[in-house]
Amino acid sequence: MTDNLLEVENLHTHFFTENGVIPSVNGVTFSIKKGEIIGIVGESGCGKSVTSLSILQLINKPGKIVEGEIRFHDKDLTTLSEKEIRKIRGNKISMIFQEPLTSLNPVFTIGHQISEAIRLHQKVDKKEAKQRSITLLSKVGMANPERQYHAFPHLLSGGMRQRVMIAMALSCNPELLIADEPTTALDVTIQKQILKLMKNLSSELNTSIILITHDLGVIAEMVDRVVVMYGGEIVEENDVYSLFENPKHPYTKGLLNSTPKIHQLKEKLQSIEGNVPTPDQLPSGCNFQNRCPFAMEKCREISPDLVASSDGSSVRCWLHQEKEVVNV
Amino acid sequence: MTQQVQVKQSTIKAPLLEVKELSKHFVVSTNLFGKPKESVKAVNEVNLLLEKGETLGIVGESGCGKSTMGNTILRLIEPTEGSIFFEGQDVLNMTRAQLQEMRKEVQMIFQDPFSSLNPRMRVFDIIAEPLRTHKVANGKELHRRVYELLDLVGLDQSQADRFPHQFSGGQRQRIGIARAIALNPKLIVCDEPVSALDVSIQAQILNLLLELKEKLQLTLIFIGHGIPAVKYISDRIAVMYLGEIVEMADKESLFSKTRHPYTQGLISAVPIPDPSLREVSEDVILEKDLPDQRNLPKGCSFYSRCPFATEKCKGEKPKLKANEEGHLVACHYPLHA
Repeated sequence: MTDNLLEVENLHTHFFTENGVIPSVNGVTFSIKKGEIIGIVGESGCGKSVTSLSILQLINKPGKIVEGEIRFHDKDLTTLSEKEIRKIRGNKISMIFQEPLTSLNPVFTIGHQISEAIRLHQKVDKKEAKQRSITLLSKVGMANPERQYHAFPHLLSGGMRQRVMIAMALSCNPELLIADEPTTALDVTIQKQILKLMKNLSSELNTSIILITHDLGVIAEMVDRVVVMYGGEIVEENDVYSLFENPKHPYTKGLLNSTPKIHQLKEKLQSIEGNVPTPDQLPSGCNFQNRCPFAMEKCREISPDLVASSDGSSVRCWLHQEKEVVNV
Repeated sequence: MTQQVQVKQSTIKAPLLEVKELSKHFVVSTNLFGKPKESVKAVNEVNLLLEKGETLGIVGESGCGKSTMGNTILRLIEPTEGSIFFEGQDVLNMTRAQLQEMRKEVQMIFQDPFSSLNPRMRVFDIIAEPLRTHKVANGKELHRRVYELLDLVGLDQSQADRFPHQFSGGQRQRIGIARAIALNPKLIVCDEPVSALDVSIQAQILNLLLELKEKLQLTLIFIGHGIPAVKYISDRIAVMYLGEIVEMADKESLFSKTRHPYTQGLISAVPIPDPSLREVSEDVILEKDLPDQRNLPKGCSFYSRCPFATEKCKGEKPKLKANEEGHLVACHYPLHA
């Protein structure tokens, strides 16, 4: 078909709870090319993590993908059986989570855990797996990999644990790496090391990365293309340079204006009024209308569609739907 | 050390808070006789002067002792050594009654608005608690004051009867702030008050703190690891590394004339939300993690990670010294010298 590695089309993931249906992800469509790094930004509850878990079919009850296709190499992941998806998960698509301590098993050495991932997907013996694990550990910048191979997770610092997670995720040379807030729990100095590592590995192995974060700084430094999510929907998508230079959706603008910048002197931060909505309390019409400074009558009634424009950007906003209206 | 304190003292009229040689060591293991064998120096001989009305930011990586210091200033943790003077009064030698009196003046805002509010108390009672404890108000006056506080922090009076779980993170932080300002304190120690919040909400809370500071003439100590946020709100910033202040200066000076290599590394590690600067920004990457705090290097604590370290740094600990502009740094070979 195309040169897209992964295509997510009209994904709807809902959670069926006692208090009713919670539509966490509502019609998300995006794609990623080989070797590309895309960023998904948004605040808590916007559906960014649920989107990534949906890709790997890791949505458990009461959640369910109710609609949509996720094509990986033209194969729809939503139709695969558990056995088939296991061959892809951790092998061709792998994931790094936010909390490296809770995603590692405390009772096994890190070496054991990396070897396990290798032996699960590749036909190699124990010795070979150990060798590969040690190579991986040194590749992700662990000092003294032979010794660290036998270390238990609690002996390592947060940054080191995240390196182990990356080593494990890379163990089978995945084509796609999904990193869900990989550096949120880390200090800035360590964050810098980890991001640099991910970027180098991506260009070296031509791995595509979906980077999920709330930090616009990380987005600006890492990704090629940005998807902004709000209330379970994509509100804007653009290449990273255009998005920062000319944000179109009021939410994207608000997000940029409310980020304190280190290279600028004091200028009053503009904040977005109101609170981040949970998926069960979204307003009628446009999801953002009750916090939007430009909301019109129309916004309160009808939800706008995500409309692509000729310059390669798409935006979900009434202000941008009628032929270049006022430049707000 | 005393030298620099004097330098600073002459420029400061009336310090609200003075911290002298403050240390807090946590004992990690004891020997057979219960004597400390190993200890972690969480805060190590820190000196601070805080002027009335200023905001002092404290930045550093996790484990650098910034929160311990905040807690020690309020005597929530007893320091191992040193002294603290609040408005000239020796905090560490206060009687219980005096301490109680002082705690009216010094309040704290915590990082996690989810765990720092009692889930079984209604918002009204949470905010009223300090007023009741210190017998400042009761009856009608108490109601009036609580509603006034709700107004001040931007919450609706109708929300007073709700429980904390019915609020979002940002609103909970507002409740925490209302509680902190209830007694008209002079000093508020804010321990990472925005770290747990969403980006769009962080700006709201930062602006609220700035606004309240003006309105109520507060002095703030703002502890944070998010450097842009600390920069936004502070007048002066202290950079901590392994329990020590390695650099302290006015905000502008700290960023434009950075003197300590650690500060330089810390600042350059902050991702800049502008992709056009991606290629331009020079990288000073700090390699390695923090060293084991039980056996710190004998000389400069930053020795093991410093790109400019020499033999001198290994053997001799640099002292915190000021230049003519009052920019303090603890380094043998400061940058921008």
